Amino acid sequence: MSPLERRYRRLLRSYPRSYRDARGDEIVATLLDLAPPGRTRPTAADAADLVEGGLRTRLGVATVDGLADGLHRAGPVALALTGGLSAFLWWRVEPLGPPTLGPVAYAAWLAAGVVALLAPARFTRPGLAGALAVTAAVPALAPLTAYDRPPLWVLMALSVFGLVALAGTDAFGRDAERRAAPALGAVAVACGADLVTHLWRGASGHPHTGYYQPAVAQAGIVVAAAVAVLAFLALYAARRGEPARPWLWATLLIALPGAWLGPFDATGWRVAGELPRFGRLAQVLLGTCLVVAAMARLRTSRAAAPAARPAAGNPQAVPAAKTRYAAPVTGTRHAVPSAGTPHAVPAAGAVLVGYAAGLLLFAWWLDAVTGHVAATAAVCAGAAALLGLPSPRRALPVAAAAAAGTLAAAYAVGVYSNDWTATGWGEPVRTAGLVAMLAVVPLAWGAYTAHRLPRRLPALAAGLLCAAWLAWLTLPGLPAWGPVLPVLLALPAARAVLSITPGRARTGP
Amino acid sequence: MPGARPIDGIYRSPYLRGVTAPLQEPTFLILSALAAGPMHGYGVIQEVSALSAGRVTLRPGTLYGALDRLVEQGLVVQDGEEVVDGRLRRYYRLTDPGADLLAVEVERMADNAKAAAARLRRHVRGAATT
Repeated sequence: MSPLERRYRRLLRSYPRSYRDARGDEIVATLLDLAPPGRTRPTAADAADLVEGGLRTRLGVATVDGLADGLHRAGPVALALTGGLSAFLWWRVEPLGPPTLGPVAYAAWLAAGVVALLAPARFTRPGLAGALAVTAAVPALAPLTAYDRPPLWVLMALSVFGLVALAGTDAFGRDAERRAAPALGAVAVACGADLVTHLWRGASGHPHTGYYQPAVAQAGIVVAAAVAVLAFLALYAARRGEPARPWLWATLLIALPGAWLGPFDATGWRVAGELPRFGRLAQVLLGTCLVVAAMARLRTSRAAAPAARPAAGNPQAVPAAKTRYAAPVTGTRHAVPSAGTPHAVPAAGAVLVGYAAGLLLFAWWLDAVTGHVAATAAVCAGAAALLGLPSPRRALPVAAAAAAGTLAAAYAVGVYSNDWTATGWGEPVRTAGLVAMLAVVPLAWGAYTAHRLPRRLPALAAGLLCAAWLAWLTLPGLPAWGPVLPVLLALPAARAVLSITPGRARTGP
Repeated sequence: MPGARPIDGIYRSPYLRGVTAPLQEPTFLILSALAAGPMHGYGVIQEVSALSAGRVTLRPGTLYGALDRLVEQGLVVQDGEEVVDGRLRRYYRLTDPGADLLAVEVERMADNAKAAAARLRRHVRGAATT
């Protein structure tokens, strides 16, 4: 094996092993055929291409129905949002407080937007990758300067929108429409956010106080509007008998970071007992769980897809849908996730048990095992018992990993909620309450698993238990939910889209 | 568009109704390359480069991602393999649905070109522009 081949094979490890076994030799052969004589190292562009291809394969972009097209549709929207939000934050929010390093990242995103608008298409992706790198570097660089870093919500949202834009843009030529649309969209986003700030101030007399509330939720409203437009396009496509799935994927891809942009400021809202307020942490957890559950549902509802697609009034497409299963390929089928694998049950149960153990351990360490903490742990353990645990040999590693993950996440929450101090936390009960809020993740997982299981009494009870405790943790803060609410409303819409039979919708002229 | 086959509806503009969106250019070029006969990955890359006069250079990660998708959609199938100089070459062939889709796309582009040419003939040279 030549050094070059060995290096190509090392890069190929970004692909899943089964894919490598099936296609690795072929891809390496093509790479070697393409390499000019005398080359001993892969070029940076080849390396980036292989790593990206591996990530796409792992995420199932080629094999999950509608995901690749969905990325292509979400890409321009995400590009518009990075540009528009950057402009709004720089123009309206940054001047209100002490200066931060934010403008460095904003300038990078605006520059990437200008490159996408004006420069040759091959520079678009490097421009976006550069802006992503700058955004990632800002928190590391800030301590070296006299400036603060911008808040994490800004960096997280910009980074994920940027990732979607990067993944949804290819290096090939675009026409004027495709170039202009993201730029016009960015202007609309910036102006829309500005409009929201004016209306907001008028309505409640709320002072505009820089990066935190209400700026987060104001930006969130604009992103929620973009999500709503995408959801509407999905409905519209379904009505016209066209594939709605790509639009649904685009909706969810934009909704994921969009759901983080909250909550609405509900300082005056009451708090039930020791429940922590529905704050940023709860918002991010709840939003992420909702969107990821919807993605999982969309991904596994794949079985219905081939029937829906050719029914779009097109007999010619029927063979296409059929042959994809008959295709004599061993290389791609393996990557398809099988819906409702038997592993899903033990995973959720073991994760719930692991979380409960981690939560109790952490609260005990803080000396803050309150009634709320104990009840949350008991609910998680009860739901796990109802869902069922597999043999100890398989459940133990998962539960141990979940417990370790909970401890790590709990410590991070403690650091974050105590003003970024590593020790000497002042309010252990409050910290323990926030860590109990992490239960949203295992409970959502448990509820989703129960939903996917055959309807039997224990599964039903487990699902109800998980859902009820989720509701107790999050519903008291309903007025604060912010952009999560529109996302929640979009879920029944998505369900309606999937259930529309395109044949019927096509009866119009 | 008169005479358009229903398969047309699958690929429509991401932005506006009625503005027909072509297949992604790399997809179109890969299908075109395979239209002449089965080809292996390296061959497809060369052919796509030639078809686009050097404008589109596919990299292997991109090519195999696109091929996976086309195979998944039933537009392309694998068609035999051979080992040359110790290197594995797997061949890909356009299926009938793939050929149909390409034909619809070609027809669409030809119609657009014809319409544009007809309007261009009515253009008066040297008239004032606004």
